[in-house]
Amino acid sequence: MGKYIFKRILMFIPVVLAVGILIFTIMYFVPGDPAKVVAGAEASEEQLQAVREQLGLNQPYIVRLGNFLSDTFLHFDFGESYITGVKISDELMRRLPRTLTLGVTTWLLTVLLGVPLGVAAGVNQNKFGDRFCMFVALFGVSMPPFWLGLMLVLLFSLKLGWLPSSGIGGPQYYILPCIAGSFGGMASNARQARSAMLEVIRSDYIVTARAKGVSRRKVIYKHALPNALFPILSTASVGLAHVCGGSVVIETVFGIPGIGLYLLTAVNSRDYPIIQACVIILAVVFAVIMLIVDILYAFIDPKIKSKYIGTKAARRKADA
Amino acid sequence: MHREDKVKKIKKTSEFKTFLRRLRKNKPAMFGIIIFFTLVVLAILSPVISPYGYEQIDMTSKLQGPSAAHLFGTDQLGRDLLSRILYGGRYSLSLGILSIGLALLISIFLGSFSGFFGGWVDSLIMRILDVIQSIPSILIAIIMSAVLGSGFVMTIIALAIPCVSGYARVLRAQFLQISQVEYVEAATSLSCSKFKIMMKHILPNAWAPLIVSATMGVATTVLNASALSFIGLGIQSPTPEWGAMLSASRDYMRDYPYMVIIPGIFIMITVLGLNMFGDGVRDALDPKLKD
Repeated sequence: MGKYIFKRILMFIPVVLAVGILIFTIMYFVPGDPAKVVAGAEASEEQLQAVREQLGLNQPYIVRLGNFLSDTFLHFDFGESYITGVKISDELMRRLPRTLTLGVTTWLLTVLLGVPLGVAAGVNQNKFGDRFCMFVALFGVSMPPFWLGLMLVLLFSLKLGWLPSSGIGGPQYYILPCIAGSFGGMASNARQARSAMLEVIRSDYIVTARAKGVSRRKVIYKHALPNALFPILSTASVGLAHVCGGSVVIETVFGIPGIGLYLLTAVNSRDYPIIQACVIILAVVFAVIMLIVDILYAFIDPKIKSKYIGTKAARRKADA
Repeated sequence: MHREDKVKKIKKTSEFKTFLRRLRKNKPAMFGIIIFFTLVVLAILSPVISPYGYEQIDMTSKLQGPSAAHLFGTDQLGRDLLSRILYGGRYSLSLGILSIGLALLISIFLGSFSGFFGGWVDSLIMRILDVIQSIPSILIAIIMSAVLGSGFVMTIIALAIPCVSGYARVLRAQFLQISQVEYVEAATSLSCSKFKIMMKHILPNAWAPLIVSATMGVATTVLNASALSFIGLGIQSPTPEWGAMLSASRDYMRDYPYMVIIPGIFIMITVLGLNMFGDGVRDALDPKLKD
């Protein structure tokens, strides 16, 4: 098992590096001159030249890429904002906890509420509860999360005045953003969990288990559920990507000063180092959580387990 | 040769016909596609049927709630919301369809080369796609549209890129599998050109798994497109794209809620129709999954 985890962690490094290279390369080809953003529109040619010199913008691509990667991954230094001159890594550290709180809570909600609902719907197929859940879930996957956010603000903040509509503060500020961000993911997890359960319940070994007199409850929770978990888990990890990316949109709606809003302000003011930094941070956070999910996967998936644990013969069999 | 063609034709139509028959029996799927086509037709006919011009400013009747003269009310400049919604459908719907179309084109190119030739071309393409896939898709759309700038064509590209990796992967797997099949071997032995084998013999048989993900992809892309315009990238106000309309009317939400409710409902109906249709297509292709 240790070997699998080690291998998986080793694979994580090139992915993160490659993300860094990709983002840098995309930003490198942005039309427009960053020096103009720094020095202002009416700067003279000498001033622009000086700025280019100072930021290392006149060096060749490969040198800049090398500097960028070593600064980013070895020193955790993203440089300074072109506009305000504030150090980006400090700002990121201030904002990251907010985005993480929001993102992790949202994702947990999608999994902890969505999956059980879907499983229950699958088990009680075609009963009223199932029909109702799937009807709501269909709306859930079709609703733009930012619009749901606006509707929640309209109802709970503007009309009823129960919850704050934007900004940060106590936990009550996170309630509406979490609901708005998690509803879609919850719905798609429930849909996936339901169809995974249905597929498993139809298989022969479930019929056999029922035929030999195992109780319905035991068959569902001991035989069917563990086998339905894999497709459910993979949808849940896709949902994580949506939450990471969706943070930009949700933070915009609710005015939460996290990484997403930082990214968006930077996009609008063409502050390239911040764009790079935010995307890399979000992608790295996403990659780390995926890594954790993959390791968890190994614990529940007997196929991976048997590859690394047990006799040589068993391993060979699993490989074949 | 003549007879072979006939046999092929019969087999092809019958397979497709069973698919269609199953699909037609599926009421929610038919309902979904009717919703979607209605919206498409309304968008196409918008210059004819919309009661006012979508840019027609009338300050005397600004911020009016829904009434007989303005079915969905008017916005802060007195523009008729119904007309703007109808015109906006042109942008929102075509963004979804064209982006997925572009993504499919790129992934046919990448996936078929990758799967058919293998070797270092395959490894290179797949590693690049791995990296793209390890970044959340809306983030890629955001950087791409930040880099490319706003505008219709640029937004299509920005929305298409994140979809490519998934489709290309599916197509590659299909190509890998199908290039081992006897009829490909037969075609090769008849010295059929590689390009012809790929496009004429393998591709038509590699489609099926993509149909469902492409239908669902249009739904997701309509959502992503509206999100992109909502945060101020992609299509921008005063163009009447639904997401851009939402973002422009946010400031008036407290007193004139209909201005944010209506565009959102249209986005939702579109996506809902596509999802219902997509569910139906999936069930029709793989009836095992249903009931």
